Amino acid sequence: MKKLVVAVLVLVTLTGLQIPVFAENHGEPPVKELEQQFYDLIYMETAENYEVEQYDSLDRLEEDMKSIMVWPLADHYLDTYFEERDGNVYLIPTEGPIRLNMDEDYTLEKISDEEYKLTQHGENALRGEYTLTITYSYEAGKWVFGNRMDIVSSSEDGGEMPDTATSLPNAMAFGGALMAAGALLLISRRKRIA
Amino acid sequence: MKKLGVLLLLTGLIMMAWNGYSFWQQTQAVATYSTEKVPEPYKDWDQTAYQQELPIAEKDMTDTKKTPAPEYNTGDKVGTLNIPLIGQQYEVYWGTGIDTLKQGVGMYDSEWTVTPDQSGHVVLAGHRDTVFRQLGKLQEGDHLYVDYEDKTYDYQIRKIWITDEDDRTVIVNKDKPTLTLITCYPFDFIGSAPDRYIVQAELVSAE
Repeated sequence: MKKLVVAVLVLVTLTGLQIPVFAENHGEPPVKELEQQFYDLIYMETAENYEVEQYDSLDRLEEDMKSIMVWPLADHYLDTYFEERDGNVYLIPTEGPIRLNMDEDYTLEKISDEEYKLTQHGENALRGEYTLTITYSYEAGKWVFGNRMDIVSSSEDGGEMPDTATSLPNAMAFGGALMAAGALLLISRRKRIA
Repeated sequence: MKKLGVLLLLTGLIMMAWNGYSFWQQTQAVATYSTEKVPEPYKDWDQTAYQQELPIAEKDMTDTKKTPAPEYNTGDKVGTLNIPLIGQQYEVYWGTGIDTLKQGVGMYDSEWTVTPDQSGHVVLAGHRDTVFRQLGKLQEGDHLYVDYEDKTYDYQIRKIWITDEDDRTVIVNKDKPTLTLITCYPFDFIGSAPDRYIVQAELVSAE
């Protein structure tokens, strides 16, 4: 009995006061790390004729891209910025994607346990005022880019429903149950003494 | 054993108090008033006969495609929602993420939705248990008022339905100025409710 109670208490302490107790928490996406990996793939060193020296084929580049972003997004970047000719990969000289300004503020909003949305307002000579939006998705055990500037139009018709449930009543009920268990313990003990 | 009992009792008490406090705090985004004292801009709230929606040309509205997205930050207060029928006024904030919905009603920010001053689909979401508790009392013909940027937008409810939480056909592009309220369903369900309660209205006047 004692062990059981201790086990319950440990469980409660470990999971904190928030319920759902069993929801998986993946933390926040590693924004800067992912951003750097993205630039390493997009802004690669090229020869004068724009030949990318780091990759021999689009397949390998595709593989690396798809390790940090969802597939439709990788397809977009591959189509927009690269081409393969005679067994060589070439960068298509064009304006690159909007970069995240790491020195400026940005907002990172939690949409769900598996999705975060980043927004940053900025201004430059080329684009004037702009808003950068990046979505991160938790897929196959890690954080990847889910979308950037709404490039990937969602395969479904419309937007995802917001999560309008709160866990507060559950947590209160759970607290109530704990109190009841405690009270029962005290009462049963008193009865035994009597 | 006595210590354990006391410990359990205390832990339970703290959990109840903490979550109860958060719950109370979230309900504070809602102001209530009696239906006899409905504020002036919403005086026609009991006219539930069908009203023609506002033709797009008559409104002082800009084309969605030409106007850039508003420069709000997530969690910024953008306006208020008034439902005289249930005598409630809600603060509306930008975004529908978890933290924004803790503040009050959230305005959906996406490629499919717009702000009330633009012709298109305005989507507002709120927690069922703290904010939109009385949404179930609304019926077709009732009025919803959104105050946004010094104007009052009067929407009349056209349709109310219940759908699955995975339904992607609700938050979509609309040509007509449309207001949609979303909350969880069933209302008295404990925990993550599997369905969504949808209230959809069309703009009948803007002044």
